[in-house]
Amino acid sequence: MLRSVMALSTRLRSRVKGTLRRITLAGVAFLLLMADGGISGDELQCELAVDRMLTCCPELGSVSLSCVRSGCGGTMVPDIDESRAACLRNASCEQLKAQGVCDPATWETPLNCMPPCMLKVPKCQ
Amino acid sequence: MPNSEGEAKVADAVSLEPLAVVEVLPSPRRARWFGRLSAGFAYRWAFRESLLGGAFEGELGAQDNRFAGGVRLRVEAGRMQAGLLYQVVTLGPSFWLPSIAERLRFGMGLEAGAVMVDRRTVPGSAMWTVAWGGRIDAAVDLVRVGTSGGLFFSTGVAAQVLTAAPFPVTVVAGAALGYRP
Repeated sequence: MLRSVMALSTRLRSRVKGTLRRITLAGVAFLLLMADGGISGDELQCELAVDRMLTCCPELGSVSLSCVRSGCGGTMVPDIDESRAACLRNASCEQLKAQGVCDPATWETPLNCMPPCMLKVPKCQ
Repeated sequence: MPNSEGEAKVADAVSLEPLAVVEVLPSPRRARWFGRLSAGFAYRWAFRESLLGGAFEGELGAQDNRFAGGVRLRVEAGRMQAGLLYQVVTLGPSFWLPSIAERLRFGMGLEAGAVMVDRRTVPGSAMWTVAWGGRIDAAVDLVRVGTSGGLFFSTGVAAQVLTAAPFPVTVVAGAALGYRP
């Protein structure tokens, strides 16, 4: 009798241990996924476009553009949208210089910028 | 000093016998430490872009005369062909099959970690995502050192899932030179 009770208790303890281990692992995996910063396509394209601009126009030094997407539903979006970023990436350095990308004074206000809009981005056609 | 005539005869016989060296082979099932270090280059395809970099791998575990296995840490760093710098760090279990012709070994492993891409707009910060997947490796011994060690050339290919990225899969191939004590 005592032996069977002890066996049951051991089995129960190992089952509880197994369940706890599974819950801990699932929790760690969940936290890892929740903590995942993620790389969005528009962020990456924006950063690549800025890299292209700075490579072709070293005189810019640095740019006051943001490529961050954040907030629930993306309340903060990259300053350079994907189509403009693709245009900047595909153009040659000569084309970028000819379009005034290397001169921030010629940059334009993006169409979707809500007033009062202080943002200026390089033109690209 | 021998106490009797018989004992004296035995002592003389023992002293006249040449010394025999008996080599005791280790038990094939006995587990020993296993470790390897390697450094090489890597080509990665991720985010629909090509990435070129260098990779460093360290592995620690156990081996017997046939199998080896352990935990592998892999650090990769380089540059996207499009310009941005990137880093990949993964950790996971690895397993090596028995060697073929005492020189060639195939291995496999699972790995999980992170892929990071440096931002150009904010120097010092990076975008990152979780990566997990598996890999297959082959290693050929160039120079044998001792019973199980050596200098080796290895090559491998891995595929990983990216949890939040413009394209959810990355594939990496590479070659490296390494040392196994």
